[in-house]
Amino acid sequence: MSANSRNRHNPPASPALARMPRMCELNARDRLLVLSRGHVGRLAFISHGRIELLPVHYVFVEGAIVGRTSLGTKYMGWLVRDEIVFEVDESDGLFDWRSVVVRGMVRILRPRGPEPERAEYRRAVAAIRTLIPDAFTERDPTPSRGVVFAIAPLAITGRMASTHDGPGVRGTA
Amino acid sequence: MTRIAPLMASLVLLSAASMEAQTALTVQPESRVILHGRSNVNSWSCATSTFQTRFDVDSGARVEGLEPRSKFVRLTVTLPVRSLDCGKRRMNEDMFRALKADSFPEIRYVLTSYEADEQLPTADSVSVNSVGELTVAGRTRRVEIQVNGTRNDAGGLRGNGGVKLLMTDFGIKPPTAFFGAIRTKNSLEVGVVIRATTAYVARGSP
Repeated sequence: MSANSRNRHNPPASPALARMPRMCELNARDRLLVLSRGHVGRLAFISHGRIELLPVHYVFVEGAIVGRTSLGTKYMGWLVRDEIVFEVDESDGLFDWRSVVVRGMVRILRPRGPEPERAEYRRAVAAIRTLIPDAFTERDPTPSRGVVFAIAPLAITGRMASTHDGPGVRGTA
Repeated sequence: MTRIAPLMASLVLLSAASMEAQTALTVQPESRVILHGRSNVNSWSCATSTFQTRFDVDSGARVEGLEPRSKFVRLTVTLPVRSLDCGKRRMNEDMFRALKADSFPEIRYVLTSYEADEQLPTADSVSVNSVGELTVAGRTRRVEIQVNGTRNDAGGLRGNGGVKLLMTDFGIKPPTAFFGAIRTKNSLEVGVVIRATTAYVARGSP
């Protein structure tokens, strides 16, 4: 067997995979960091007996996930079944990623009603405007997304993969 | 009025229920006050073992005069709101805010009368229906608390009591969290766990 054929069947390890990837759970601090850095997540819920999975933009504020979406009948399902799963991830490569999964309860916020509820709505809108300053104004880039929601995280889990030394989470030591 | 030292007196009513009106009991650290409630997500509880009891009698009255519904007896139980522990720091803060701890740092219960149950299942049993005034977040409401317990050979007492309340009766808006996604139910139950030992016999003393 020539040296060339041997190399074809047993190529040397590429520099990118010289270090074996490691996968582990994210600690509590890093889970919150990933949630805080992200602005687009995926929201899974059951509506009319079907599993729905939709991308939504969001802000992580006061320990809650606050976002907005379009008015649709499937969201009305939240009024009767408010259990959801939310996921956000960061991916820098096949073996360099972080993923956080939140299980919680979703609530639609309304601009009307008792003052405490209106105050919650105003705080949520203010939080969304940190992401989209023109949200809910005449210059709103997505005016159709008129439903404001908040998710209470009841359980937060996270996993990561990394080929680098150290914790491997951006922004951490 | 004569004030007997905090944590030493109290519970004389329970002694009186078993016809030993002058036996005072010391409340043990295992005694607790527990708030049980529910939210749209789960049930929760907050508890404290930090409370003070004070027993006031009219020094002009004979001790033997301590009878059920006597106007000469006053038992006061005070607990610091911020001693309540709900198991999570964030929930503690939500609870303190709901109870307006900054303005009203104490929860106070003042016994105004009691009635011992004469129909007891065993000789060691103690059963008292107490009536008192409960002050929470600056509002006072009349409450009835049924306390049932047993007396041990050393004269100590193990008792439990409870009362169901509505937060709104005390002007408390049921707490919410996470922009209202978690909402506490209005009703809650206050439980009392009493563990006490005999401290001294007050017969003949003021």
